Amino acid sequence: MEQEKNLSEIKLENDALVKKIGGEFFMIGRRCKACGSVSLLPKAVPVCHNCFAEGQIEEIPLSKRGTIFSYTVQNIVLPGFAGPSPMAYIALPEGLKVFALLTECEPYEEKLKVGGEVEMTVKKVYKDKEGNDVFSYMFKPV
Amino acid sequence: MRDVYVIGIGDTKFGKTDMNIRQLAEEAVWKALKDANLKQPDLQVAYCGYGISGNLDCTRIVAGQVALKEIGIRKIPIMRVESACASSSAAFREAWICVASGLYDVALAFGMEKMTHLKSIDVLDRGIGRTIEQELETNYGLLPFGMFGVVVRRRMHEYGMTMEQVAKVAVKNRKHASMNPIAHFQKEITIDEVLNSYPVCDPIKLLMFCPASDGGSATILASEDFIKKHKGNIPIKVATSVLTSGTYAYDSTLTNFQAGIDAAKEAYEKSGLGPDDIDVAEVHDACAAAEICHYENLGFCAEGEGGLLVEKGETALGGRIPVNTGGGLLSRGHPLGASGCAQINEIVQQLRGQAGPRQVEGAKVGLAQCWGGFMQMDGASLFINIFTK
Repeated sequence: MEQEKNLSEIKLENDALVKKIGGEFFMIGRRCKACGSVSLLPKAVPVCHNCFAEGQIEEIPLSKRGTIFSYTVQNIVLPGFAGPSPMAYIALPEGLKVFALLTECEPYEEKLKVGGEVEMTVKKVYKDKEGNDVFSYMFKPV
Repeated sequence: MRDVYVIGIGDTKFGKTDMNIRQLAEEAVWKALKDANLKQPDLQVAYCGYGISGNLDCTRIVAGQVALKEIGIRKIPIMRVESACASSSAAFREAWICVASGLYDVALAFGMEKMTHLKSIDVLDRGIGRTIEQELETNYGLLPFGMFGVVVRRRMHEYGMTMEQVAKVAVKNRKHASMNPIAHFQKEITIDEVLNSYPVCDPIKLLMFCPASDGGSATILASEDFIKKHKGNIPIKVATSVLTSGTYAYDSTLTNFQAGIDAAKEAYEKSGLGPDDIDVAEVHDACAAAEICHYENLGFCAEGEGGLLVEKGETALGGRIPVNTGGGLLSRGHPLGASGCAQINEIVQQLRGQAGPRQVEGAKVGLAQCWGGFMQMDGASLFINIFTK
């Protein structure tokens, strides 16, 4: 299981977005202590995109459970990705929607539905041009 | 700010061609000069727009200067601008600012793209797939197809939009294109053909997406002072030219695009016109479903009712508000950098009364809306130009 591997053993797409805390993978968000808004990408400068507060950004682990806000199945994928691939925007309790591939879910399964509950896991997302497996967050129906 | 007029337009045939990207631009610019009854030295400034041709080995740097030198347009400021699908809308707006500000009297905007010389997967990997947010979307597998896929699913869930309605947009735009000699696809299609085409991205089918095309388009703008002294084709006034970028709020409704809503509001405020004043519109239908979103953004109907608008035929030629009379990106074709000016040129033909079999009778006000790039569920660039006779 990918989840049991150490971080050092796998190549992550972006190691600022997935971290291991207490032996478990979490997605990491950037929360502004001033306005509470949560964003994802690490910034070069500690400023909030929403209220412009400075020095108030803290990293937080995001909830592992969310719901499918909308989904699709792409039958055409970029080189290195597996297809056809179910994918979705996942609504998280922190108030943000995250794009992610879905896993443990076939393209036309009943569990692939708007409002369906999903849980974050870490899996192989694609194979890079050098042939390395690249891992990151994905969501699986629960 | 001064009033600005479009005085010349030119388009190549869109589709697959042996011409290189420089030649595509040359032909479009040459036609625009002829249409405007101008000579090369009359142009005082030029803006060139292309999106992905640099990624596709067609051109690398100073593409605007490269495109204009062989036809004798030299010794003027020439700048390249980029805004993905809306690159020549960006060129047009910069040219408009140049003339409106009083700095120049005659400005050229043009755009071109070369897309059919590589395999589709390479165009996707190196070009089209790079027009959306990379770090949070493309790197995790999302392509523009999937972006439209999630919007369509959400709209079906929220508004009961049907795939028959989406298919009807494609059928309508193809019918319009059948009357447009520059269109990439001119053979009419049926709803069944659209619904039974390859499922690119569930639930969206191949014929609901625009093709990759080669093409060039050019538009010449001038001040009122200039047109008073100049004899050319019928000038069409630019009522407003608006550009905005997205909100990227991480909490989009996914049923529509905030930048599209914001740009429409601003365009109507600045022009003093409203949705009821628009006689004909060109909108960014890279996916047939996006056209339905744009009906709502532009106020042609209420939010959620766009599907009904096309179902009732109101946006077809002969309907209440004909949309994409040139065939849209879906059927005129979509050479990214050329589409912005091509949309504007279609509206100019309509307002001049020179659109031939596609003519919207008595059209006095036209709108061209172009969308470039997508990030975190919103448009990266959203252009709206409104024109009056």
